[in-house]
Amino acid sequence: MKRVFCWILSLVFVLPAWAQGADDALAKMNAIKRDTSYFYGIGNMATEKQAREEALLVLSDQLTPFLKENKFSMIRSMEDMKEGTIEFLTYSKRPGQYRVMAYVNKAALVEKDKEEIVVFQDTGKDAVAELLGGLLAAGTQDEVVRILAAADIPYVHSGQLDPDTRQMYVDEGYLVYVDRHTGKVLEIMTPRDASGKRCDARSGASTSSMKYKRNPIYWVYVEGHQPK
Amino acid sequence: MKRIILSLVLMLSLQPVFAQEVTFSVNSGVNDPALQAAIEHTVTGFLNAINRAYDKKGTPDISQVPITEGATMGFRMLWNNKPFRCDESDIVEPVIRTYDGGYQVRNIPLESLDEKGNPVYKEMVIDLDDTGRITRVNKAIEANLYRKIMQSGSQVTDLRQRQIILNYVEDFRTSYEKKDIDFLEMVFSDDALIITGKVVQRKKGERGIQMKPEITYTKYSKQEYLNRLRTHVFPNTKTIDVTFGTVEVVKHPSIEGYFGVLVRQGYKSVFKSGAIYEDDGYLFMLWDFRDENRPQIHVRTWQPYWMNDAKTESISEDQIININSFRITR
Repeated sequence: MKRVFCWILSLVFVLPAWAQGADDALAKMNAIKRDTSYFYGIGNMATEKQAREEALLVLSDQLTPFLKENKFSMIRSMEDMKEGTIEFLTYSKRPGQYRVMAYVNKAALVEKDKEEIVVFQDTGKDAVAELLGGLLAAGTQDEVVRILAAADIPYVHSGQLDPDTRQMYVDEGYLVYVDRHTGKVLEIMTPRDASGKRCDARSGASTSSMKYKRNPIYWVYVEGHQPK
Repeated sequence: MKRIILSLVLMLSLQPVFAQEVTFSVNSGVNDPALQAAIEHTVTGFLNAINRAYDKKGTPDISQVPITEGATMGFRMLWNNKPFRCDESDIVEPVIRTYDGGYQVRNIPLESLDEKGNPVYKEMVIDLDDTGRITRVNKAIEANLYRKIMQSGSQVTDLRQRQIILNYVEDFRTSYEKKDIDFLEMVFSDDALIITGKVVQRKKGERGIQMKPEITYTKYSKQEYLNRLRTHVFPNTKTIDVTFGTVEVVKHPSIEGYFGVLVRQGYKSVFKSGAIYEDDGYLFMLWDFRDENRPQIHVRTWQPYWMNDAKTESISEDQIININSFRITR
């Protein structure tokens, strides 16, 4: 009798705990689906291995247009991503049916040790103001990357800095300086004004790029946008 | 002690009984917030009506759900074949624009029970119009097959064509579960060629050598085939389950609008007597999509996958019927 009691008692507690674990995975999957900072792919298959492979294929489908668009020249390749950038969630409620989500944060797609120029097109929509507002509020390089990657504005050009692009955009772009060791955003400078001066975009104080030994990491230029 | 055990057993048995309330949310695909809200409201209401009926073992009351008459009829047929429920409470999915200007929601998880009471997982696809009204409800083909078909760009370059083919393949598969003879009557062309293969084990030869099994074929006209379904198969069957393991869509090399669809199909029916029939094979269909509003099947063939009862030998690849097996004369 005691044995039966123990067995039933364990079922009463273990089953809900197991179900809760599955529900937690499902809740996390749904949170990622709702969050526009992520790319994701889902595989629903008979085995976890098959579901994982399918999820990766779906994720790759999602990423391909993004990679082709080449928003950032420093975007990682799909192969590099598999090394740890991509995360997985597994949900299984019944035997022989596994759901695996492969997901990646847009910010994690970007390699952070290169300099980048990103040229947006000013569509006159709130998205530009949101982008610049977000950049000004960003305290770390991760946040800057996330904001740039998630911006819902057409890109007209992006790439690594070379003498030509630097010449084209250097005066009219926002300069984002980042401490390359700590990842902390040091300063964001406004484009040059008519007199050739730059300001700290957050404090409004006059500043100069000459005070930094190295180039800014991000040069963000919005075509047609007039800084206020 | 007995009382404690009884209460624990009761606690355990009550766990899955409570009705599952479902919320459906759209995460992308619609730019109009009012339409998004309408789609979310409709699908949520529809899934909850299903779940309430499943728990009460009744018929879903969808009188408050915006749904067309045709979609209602199709849904009722599906339900009558086998009731199902949505066993997840929070569903987040994108909305897809369809070729006819409507919207589609896929990957809605469903659970039904097989004849032994074991849970079976399927997914639902719901089409909606631009007011958020349901225009079609169907069991979806598996998401991985959907992805493969939608990517078969080298064979079927037009996304619109791929969507149309996929919808009809889904409708065709479900028509057997719905016992929808009207749909089958509509899609088979009047002169459709219907061929069914059967494995025949050949007798041992003179020297006692076991001959390889072979497939013999029976040819039916459209009316012969449909009469068989109408008078023999559908009335005597309680439930039908059709699954697709692989789907290949190939455009005809020279005739515009003709597509070959080759499917690895699993078929299982439970007869009213309780007997079970199961088969596994290749289904080939030659579709004519020249009139997109009224596609026709000119050829339907079925070949068994396994060549022996022990399931150790399968049909050889060169035996599988495909689009090149027929000469089409116009």
